[in-house]
This record gives sequence, structure tokens and C-alpha cells, in this order.
Amino acid sequence: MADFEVPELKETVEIPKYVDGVMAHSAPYKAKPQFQEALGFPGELMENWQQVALEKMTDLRTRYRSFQVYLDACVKCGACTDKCHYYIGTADPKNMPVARQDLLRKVYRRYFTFAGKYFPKLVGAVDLTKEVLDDWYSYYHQCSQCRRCSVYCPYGIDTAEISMAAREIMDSVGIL
Amino acid sequence: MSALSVSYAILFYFATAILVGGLFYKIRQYWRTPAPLKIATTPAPVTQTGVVLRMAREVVLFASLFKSNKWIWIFGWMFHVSLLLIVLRHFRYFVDNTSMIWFWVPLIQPFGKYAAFTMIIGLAGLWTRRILVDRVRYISSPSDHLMLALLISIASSGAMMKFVSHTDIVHVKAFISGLLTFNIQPLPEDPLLLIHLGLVATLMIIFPISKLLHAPGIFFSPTRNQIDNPREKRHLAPWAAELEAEKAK
Repeated sequence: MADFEVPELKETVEIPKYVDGVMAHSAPYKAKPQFQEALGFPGELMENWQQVALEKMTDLRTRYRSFQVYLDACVKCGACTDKCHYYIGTADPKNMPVARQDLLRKVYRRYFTFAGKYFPKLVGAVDLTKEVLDDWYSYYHQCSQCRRCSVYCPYGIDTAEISMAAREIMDSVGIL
Repeated sequence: MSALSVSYAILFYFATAILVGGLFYKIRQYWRTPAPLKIATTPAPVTQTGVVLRMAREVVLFASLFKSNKWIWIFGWMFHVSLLLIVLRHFRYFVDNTSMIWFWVPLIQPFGKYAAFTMIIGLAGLWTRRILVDRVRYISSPSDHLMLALLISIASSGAMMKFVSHTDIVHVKAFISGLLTFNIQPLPEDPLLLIHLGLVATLMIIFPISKLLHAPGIFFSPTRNQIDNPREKRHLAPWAAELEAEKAK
């Protein structure tokens, strides 16, 4: 049994200070290759998965206005940071809606925006590595897509749109 | 004509081209990308008028942000309203005040003048939050800090010229009128003015490649600009309709 720090129930919700990586271990079990293939998805992570993932991201960006606009529009104001029950319950900073989106946004910036291509450190853009993909698998499945964050975002950025896109990208490279 | 005046003129033509071209490109991209799903955040308006009112509430009052966090709202709204007043005040450098339609330009001057202080206070408040609140610090990258530094520098250099050391605004207006008529005029060589204009050009250049895209972006946000009528009227994006047609074959 893991050590759980159960938040004490008080009259008003107390927003926890963030604790890095406490939920990094949590991820669903991967489906067996035979089941994935039966659904028309690749059975396991392929050789050129980065390329496939980026192509899928472009495909989704051109088909979903929400995805494209929400990748661009976030100003990191922090309004959503204390609105996600996954964050309030776990204190893992990557469960803040903006940080959850950023797992994907930082890759979008690296490959598809001027600032991210030429000044990655400045805008926090990163390459699409296996570590990033593992983070996606963990944290995009720690979102119930309840859309509470989109109620509070000044631009209505909906993390569910981002996490749905991320899951679709992961399906396409074989980690379902 | 000094090399300095010519370089600033070129800088501003370049910055304007990037700003207009970049925004045109991004807005066209947002416009052309279909929104296949009805995802208006409820409670959502069920009529077009309702959507216009909702968007106005978001853009003018930052309604969602108000629900979300009062401190961000106070500082953010203060900054944006001040910015608006200051931009309107700067019309005096671009228009012919003797014309009737610009009657409001002289009237807005005192408001724009003191908005310099509220703008700086707003930005300082936002920056303080970015540094002090652990969650906001976690999500900030260097560019987020630099953006605030840039805006504060623009506001302070402008306020310095108004309240501390006046610049030759008659010649500034001549320079800008010259830019508008493609007839370059000398720019006063006042360091404060040169800093101010250089930073403004920088802001114009980074506008379409940065998070400042939230300005056009909000108008295209499906959770805010959609009518909530999925049952009354079927919503079908072109690519979804194609898929459906293929299936029906």
C-alpha cells in the first residue's frame, strides 16, 4: 500500500502547494497488441513514432479549430491552476490544466512555431522524446475531461479538447 | 536625413508588415479550420444574439476570469483597459485633429495620460503573482517574464516622456505622418523616445508569433462562440459530412 496523504476536509477547499511528480507513476495498463490491431491501431510503438505523432498532430490541427486555437491562445495567467480536482487531490503540478496542456503545447511549439523552432528554451519548447510520450500517457489519462477548467479560462480553453487530441495521437503511434 | 531616422522608418515598415501579415495568416488559419463539435461551455446562449452578448462580456469585462480569480482579474483588467486608453490617446500622432470624426481624440488625452500608472500597476501585479504564487511560477517560461518586462518598459519609457522629460512631439507627429505618406521625416534623437519606439516595434513583431495571439484567439474559441443548439439544428463539419457520405455509399 502506497503512502497517501489524504487532504483534510475543511469548510473551504485548500489549494495544496505543488509536489513534483507525485502522480508520474500512475498510468493505465496498455492494451495487448492483438486487441489494438483488431481496432485498427498499431500494436506497439513503431520505429518512426515521432514522425507519425507529428503528422497526426498536424492532421488534428487542421480538422479541429479548438485544438489549433487552444494551442496558441494560452497566456499562462494561472486562472485554471487551482480548478482541477486532479490537482487539488494529488498536488502534482502536471495535473494543473495549463500544465497538462503544456505537455503537448511545448511539443507543438518546438515543431510548428517560429519561437519554438529557433528559441526553444525561451518559450519552454521541447523535442518529442520517449520521456515526453510517457508523460503524455500518464497525465492525459489523469483527466476525466469534465471541462471545469474551460469554465474558468478567460479564453474558454478546454483541456478536454487537448487531452482527446493527445489520446488520439497516442493511439496512432501504438500506445493505446 | 539621418541614418537613425531611416533605420527607424524601415523598422516600423517591417514591424507593421509582420504584424498585419502575421495576424492575417493566423486569423485565416483559425477561420478556415472547421469546428466539428458543439462544445459551448454551459450554461451557454441558445441564440446568436446571446453569443454576441457572451463574447462581449468576455472581451470587455473578462467575465470568466472574474469567476476564476479576483487578483488576476483586477490586475489583468486594469492593464488591458489602461492599454486601450493609451492606444486611443496615441491616435493624436496618427490623425488629423481638425477633422470632425476625431473629436474624441483631444477628450481622451487626460484619461490616457494617467492610464500609464494603472497600466504599470496592473503589469507589476501580474508579474508579482508570476513570481510569488508557486503554481503560476511553475507554469511560467522565460518568455512569460520577458513579455511583462517588455510591456513595463514600454509603459515606463512612455510615462517618462510625459511626466519627466518631454520629447519633441511635434516632430514625432511629423515623423509618423511621414511614415503614413511614405515621405520619411527626421525623428527627434531623444534616447527615451528611441527606446520607446524600438520596444513598440519589437512588440509588433512578436505579436503574431507569441501568446499575444490570445487577442484574436478568443473570438474563435468554440467553447465561447458557439450557439448551444445541437438538438434543434444538426451541426456537421465538412470533413465529417464527407465521412458520413462515404459510409452511406
